[in-house]
Amino acid sequence: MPDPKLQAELRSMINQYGFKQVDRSLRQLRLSISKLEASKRQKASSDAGMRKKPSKNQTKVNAQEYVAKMELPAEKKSVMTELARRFQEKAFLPAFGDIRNFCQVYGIDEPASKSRANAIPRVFKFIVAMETNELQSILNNGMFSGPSRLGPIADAIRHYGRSAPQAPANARDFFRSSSEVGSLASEKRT
Amino acid sequence: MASKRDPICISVINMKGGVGKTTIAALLVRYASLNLNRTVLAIDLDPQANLSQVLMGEHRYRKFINDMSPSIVEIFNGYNPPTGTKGSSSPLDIGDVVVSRTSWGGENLQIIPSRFDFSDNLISSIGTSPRVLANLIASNFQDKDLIIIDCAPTESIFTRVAYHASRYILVPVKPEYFATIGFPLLNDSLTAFRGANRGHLIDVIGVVINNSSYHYSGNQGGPERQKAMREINTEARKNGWHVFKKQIPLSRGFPKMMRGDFSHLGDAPQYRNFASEFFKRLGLEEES
Repeated sequence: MPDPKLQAELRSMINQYGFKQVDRSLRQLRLSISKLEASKRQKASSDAGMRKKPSKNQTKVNAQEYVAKMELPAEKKSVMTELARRFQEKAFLPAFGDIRNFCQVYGIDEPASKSRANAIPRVFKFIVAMETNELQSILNNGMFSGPSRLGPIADAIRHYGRSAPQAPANARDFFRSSSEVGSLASEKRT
Repeated sequence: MASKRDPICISVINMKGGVGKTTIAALLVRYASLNLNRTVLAIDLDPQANLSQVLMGEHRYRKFINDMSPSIVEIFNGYNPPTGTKGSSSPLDIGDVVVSRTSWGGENLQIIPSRFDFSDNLISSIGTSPRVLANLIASNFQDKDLIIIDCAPTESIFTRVAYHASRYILVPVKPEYFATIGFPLLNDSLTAFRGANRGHLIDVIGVVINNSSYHYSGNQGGPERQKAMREINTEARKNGWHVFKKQIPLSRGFPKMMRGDFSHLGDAPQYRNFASEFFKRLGLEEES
């Protein structure tokens, strides 16, 4: 339920500055907040690192283990778990270049180390703050799943080219039973 | 220059093929969306649909084809055709055509994708209005900061559609023999368009030099490149066209970027120098 006071204030701002400027300012604000939060998290983790150095025996947590520790609503947990699984299988952000692009697209600082494993906390801490529908869109649309291959696109085009001009089965039956069957057959021959 | 509050529509056109129209259109929408935080609409007006493939990526473009999702073809036709689930033609919802949230430009970027049967559809449809895209933008996309149209090479109905929708034309060119062959054709075509549409202001915002090999040799790219550059400057001057100072370097990073591979991009990120100059000239980036 939208807050009526907030609505009134937004409306007044829109009247004063126009919808587009308010919208742009909000988006800029969101971007700078995300950047600030990311740098705070980075600082906090580096401070913690200074306080307590990990022992040599301590193993790195993989994406699935990292997400498993998060307390989240069921729907979000399920999407996050799937993203973590795909990350482990290199079907989501398969190379460091993809992580770099992900950071550029969402306006967050790129990890200093060029290791996928080291980038897990930064990436998944950012992802968990995203709306569930946005995460679902990443999953459904195969976003950030690595470089494109032309072959599957060409196959899809070929398949479309073959299937598109065909009439559905019942329409073909109709033609077969009608007097047009002769002309249809001659068209096919030419 | 247009007011910052209005969307500015630019078509990337050169009658000559292979000059990097799609690459430049893709780079400009990325820069405007990610670096300038502008709201951007990219329109793919080329039946080869390469811009759509770059911006949507393999998985999504494949899904778009397999699902027979609406595209620029349906915008020109003005309706959705009957499908496996719909027994008749149905009204077209522009929201269904526009693709949002991509790995290329984030939430600021939307795309109207193209399909390879686009030209067949246009050629076979009777009375396609060249103003269809201009009308669409006027009614649906006034909230955008920037609209970029990637055009097919050669003069056709696509070119006229792009002219009707655009305030500016950006002309990419490669510094090589045949580079300027498209200039007089484009100039004649624009002159004819202006004559027939006197209320419509349309200008060439400039010429951008693409695949400049300047960085790879110590003598300004060698005599052949220098000759081509002189010809480009002379021909541009004849038409009163600006030539951008910043060039797009020759880099293997660009084809990688187009594939969605962002590792080891070499000189490719230097495209931002041109993009910055371009958007400053357009008034969408503040002078530093």
